[in-house]
Amino acid sequence: MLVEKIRDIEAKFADFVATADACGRERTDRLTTTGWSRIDAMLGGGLPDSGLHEWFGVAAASSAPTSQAPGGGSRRDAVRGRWMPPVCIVVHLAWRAMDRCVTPRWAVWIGRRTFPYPRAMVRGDMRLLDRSIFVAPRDRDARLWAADLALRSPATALVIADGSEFNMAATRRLHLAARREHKWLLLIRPPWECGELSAAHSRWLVRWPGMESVSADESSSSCRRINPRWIVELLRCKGVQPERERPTWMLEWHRGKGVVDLSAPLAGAAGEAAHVEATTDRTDGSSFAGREGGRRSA
Amino acid sequence: MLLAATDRGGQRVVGCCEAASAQGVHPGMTMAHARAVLKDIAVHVEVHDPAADASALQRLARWMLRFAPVVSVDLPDGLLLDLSGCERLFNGVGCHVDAILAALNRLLLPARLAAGPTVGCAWAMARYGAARSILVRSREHIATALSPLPVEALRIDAACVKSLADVEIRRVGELLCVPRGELTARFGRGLLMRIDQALGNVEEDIEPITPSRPLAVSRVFEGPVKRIEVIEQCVHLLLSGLLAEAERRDCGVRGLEVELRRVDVPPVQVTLSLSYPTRSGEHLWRLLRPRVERLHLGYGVEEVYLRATAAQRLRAVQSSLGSDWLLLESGESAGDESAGAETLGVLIDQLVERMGRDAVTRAAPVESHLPESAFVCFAAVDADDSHGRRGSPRSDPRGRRRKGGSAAEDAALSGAGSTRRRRSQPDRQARGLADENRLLSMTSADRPSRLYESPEPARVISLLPDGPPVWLEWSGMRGAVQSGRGPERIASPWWQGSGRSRDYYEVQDESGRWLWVYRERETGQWYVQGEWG
Repeated sequence: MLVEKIRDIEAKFADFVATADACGRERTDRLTTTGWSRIDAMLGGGLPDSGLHEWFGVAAASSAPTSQAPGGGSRRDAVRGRWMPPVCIVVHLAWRAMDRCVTPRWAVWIGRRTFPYPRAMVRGDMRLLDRSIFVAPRDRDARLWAADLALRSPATALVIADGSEFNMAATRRLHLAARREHKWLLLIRPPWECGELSAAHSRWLVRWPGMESVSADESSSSCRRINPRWIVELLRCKGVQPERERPTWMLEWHRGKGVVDLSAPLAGAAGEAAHVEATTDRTDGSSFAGREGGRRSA
Repeated sequence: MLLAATDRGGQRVVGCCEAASAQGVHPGMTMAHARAVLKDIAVHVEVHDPAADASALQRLARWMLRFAPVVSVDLPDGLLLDLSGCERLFNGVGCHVDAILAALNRLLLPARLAAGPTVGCAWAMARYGAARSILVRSREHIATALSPLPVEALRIDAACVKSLADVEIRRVGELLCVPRGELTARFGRGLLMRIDQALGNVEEDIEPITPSRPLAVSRVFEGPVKRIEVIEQCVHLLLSGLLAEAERRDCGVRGLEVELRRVDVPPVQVTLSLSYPTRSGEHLWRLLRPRVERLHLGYGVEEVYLRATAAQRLRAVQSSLGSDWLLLESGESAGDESAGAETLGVLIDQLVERMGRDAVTRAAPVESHLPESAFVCFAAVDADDSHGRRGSPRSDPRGRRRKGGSAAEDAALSGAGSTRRRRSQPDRQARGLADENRLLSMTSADRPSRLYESPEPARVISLLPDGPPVWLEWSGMRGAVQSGRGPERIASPWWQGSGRSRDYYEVQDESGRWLWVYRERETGQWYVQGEWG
């Protein structure tokens, strides 16, 4: 009897269910552009608008980054636990996520490490600051609980959380919640945890450029860079196969606009080709700009 | 009788009876001096309790509602009654005033009364008039009645009174002879406004009180109950009853208190503070239940008392036909915005319940050039809709309460005494500036993405005495500065007394990290205050 009733209801709403499924699939596949053209091109249009994305911060270091420790920090720094979350980049992505929403929703920042200085959240208007909630949990479990709760709330558009000491089970739980709710969860983690297992859709490592990225021409006083810059390295992105392993880009903070953008290559002193061969500490010779095109697997 | 308060280590008179006043005692006098003046008279001294006075005044104001429909408390020692339209009931204004005076005399309250066409006129005549009961019948007589009174009768501050005294203006009549343009230029617009209010050229609102029944329910057991399951069930039932009553009054609960009255031991309470008004029993019970479970029942509970400590009118929500079925292109339904206000409240309440009120915050700019005080954090529970929060449309872009509007209703619903609330200046400062000023108040200069909780001392080498740093040692890191920008000079407000100024530089260290450092010009000490991360 009950089965028949269920079948009747299914038949009655068959068209709607089909439409809703189609919408659901479409929503699942929707991408949100990062605003960084070459990165978007490699990702096949942008990051999926749902799921967990991990950003590994920069370890505090007294010297230029070395290849021994992730993020360019020394082991001593890792032990000491001092690291810098990539706040500018995360604020930029938060703006992208907020712009995506038609109806106003909220951004939840979980963990004191993730809290930006509020001025950095203002970009001509105060939408992001006005619609941000800052949560300061005491410990790892509270952070995990708060992130899960915030993801499940219909009022939020994205969640930014301090993911220090999160294990595989925790990231899987959060990733599934983010997928189900069609939201971004940006997890900020210390650089020495990039070797930990994770269920994140994408994993990014951020480090300071050091002085090795500045060529002789660039380091001259006439064309010295005046904006903060970071090297961003894609460690993993599900469904994306880059042409080279772990591609890198240079991002730059635009002081006037308050946005993070791809660092524009500089022309050499003699006017030759654009300076795209900025060297890195990587030994495989990958460059910061251009030639990172990848393809998104079906 | 003397009212005494401790001030700067000594006791001072803050009030006295007429007999003491006739002997020369006045507020501000030391108690020793007052006792010396009243050496031959038996003196009864009471400790001044302003909160108790305000509470008593509030009760008296409610009692005075039998004489006028609109009564307002004028702290610290006055009541304002709007007698408009009541004169027929008392055979004219004169009889009305006499009836009030007689009633106060029966209560042994030696009050001074004045009735006038304006609030300012009545206030002045009651406090500075010659008789205990004065009646000014029409607007034409206001100027004449006020003229002999001192300028303090216009409710102006002491600084303005002193400024007027400097130019030998001590009476209202003298003040009214001065051209208005000169008054504004010399004494500011405040004085002119008070004059206009007294003369009736400018309307003045009063804040009426509205008595209301508290939103509360209780249940008394036949005997002491020691089982927590029974208490839980009882609280749940009472909560349903309270919410039904709230629905009848068309309001939502924003604060809740559960009190278990126990046998032989003091009662125990649980209080909830919500971020938004709600009538959702499920949400409230989810927050309440873990707290009730932990309560100690002592030797048994005799009574459970549930009270809404704060109630607010619920925001009207436009319902939409089939909005849940229509998926927009963005994947959001049309009703999301209105639902967002409530769902955000649910989220904040749950976060606050587990982590505490101070762990869930929001930020707003305030008017300050100093980077550490340019923004203020406040508890998300306390946030209101004045900045378009909770995703709901604003009725007033400036975030002001409309006259006699929702704030009045909110307070009345919760059983509070005063119905119109004005946000104080420090409160407004703490909540941030008005929308249209907030962006303008912020500097256009670049600021780091992270600011340290307190500036960290650094050692710096500069080539010039006031020049930018070329070498930096800070937090275990030392090395040459690769590039930098600056200085940007930021001075602390001179009117706050510190008068310090800082020269800020943006410097890049060898690893490529950009730091925000400054030098205190007075001490020459360098600090690192933030970085771009």
